[in-house]
Amino acid sequence: MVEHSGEANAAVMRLPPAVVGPVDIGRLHRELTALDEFLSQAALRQSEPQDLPRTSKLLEELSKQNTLNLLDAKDRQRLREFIQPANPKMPVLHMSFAADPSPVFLNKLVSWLRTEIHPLALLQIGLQPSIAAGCVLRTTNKYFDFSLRKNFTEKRGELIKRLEATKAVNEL
Amino acid sequence: MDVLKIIIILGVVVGAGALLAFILLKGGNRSAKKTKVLDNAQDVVKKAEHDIEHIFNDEFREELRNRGRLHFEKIIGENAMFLQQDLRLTTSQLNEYMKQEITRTLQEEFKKYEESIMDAKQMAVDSIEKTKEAIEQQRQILSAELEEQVSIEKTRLISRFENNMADIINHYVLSAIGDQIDLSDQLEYILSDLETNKKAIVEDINGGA
Repeated sequence: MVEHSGEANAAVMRLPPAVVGPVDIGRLHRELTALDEFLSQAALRQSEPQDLPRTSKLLEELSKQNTLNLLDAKDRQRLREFIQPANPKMPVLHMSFAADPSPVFLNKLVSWLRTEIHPLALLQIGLQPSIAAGCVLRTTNKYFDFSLRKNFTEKRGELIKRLEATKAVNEL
Repeated sequence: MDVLKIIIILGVVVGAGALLAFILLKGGNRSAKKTKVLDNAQDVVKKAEHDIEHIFNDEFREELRNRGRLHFEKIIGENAMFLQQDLRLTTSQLNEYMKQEITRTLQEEFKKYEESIMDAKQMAVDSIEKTKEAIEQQRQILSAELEEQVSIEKTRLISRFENNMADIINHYVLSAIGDQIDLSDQLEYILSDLETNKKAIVEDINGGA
């Protein structure tokens, strides 16, 4: 259990890059709820708990980034309110790739998204092997196809032109 | 020598005399016999005048009958021989005639038969020629039609292939390189696309549902 300064942070809450999507948010929320219940029961018994439950690395990163003390009930309350599942303040983007992305890749991508698009953006990952390369992005109302398949389809005219040119050369 | 000649002359004279005597004796016997026969004939005529029945007795009749029978048999034999010859000749002629007639008839029939066969052969040849011409025409029509169909099908396939060539190549390239490109290598490409569409994404997120 990592303890941070228990001062109230009026600053805007942020998500660490390791927290990628709604699944992570849900997991964090469940873990935080369990920890909160454990500590609340200990407070009710008016006894200092001997063995605190082991928190995940994700929860530690989250509390560290937001300078919150998980032993503090107010901080836990703030954090619980922040990581509410289906929080409307956290827009969810759906991105599909041809293969399963690595954690490093996701880390970089999520960092860029939270820097450039939205600080609380969540990313839901999908798999579409048919796109070959690139990705397909789906926001609330729009669909962006950045795949190689789309690129080939857009450049189909040029491909036909090149093929016909090659055919003409071969016939000569 | 002289004696011998005299003996020979004498011998010749004696021989000539003997020969003359023999001739005279012989001529005498004949006239005697002839005279005797004449006498017998006169005797028979006389007897016949007196007794006809005595002449045509059974022996004479039997003799006549035998003579008649022999003569009749002779005539019958001769006629039979002639008849046999005629019959042989007639048979031979008849055979020849029949042979000629049969040959002629057979030749005529064979000729007709040959003409019929020739006509039938000609008809068959004509029919075969017509059938052959019809088959040839049909073959040419079918060949032309087949060539046309093949050409159309070929053109259609080529057109279809050319129309779908881009899709085929796309599919092939995607299948070929789909598993070969690492996502880490694509990060810059993805980020550049996101950067290009950043404004639209942000507007959509801020705009809400």
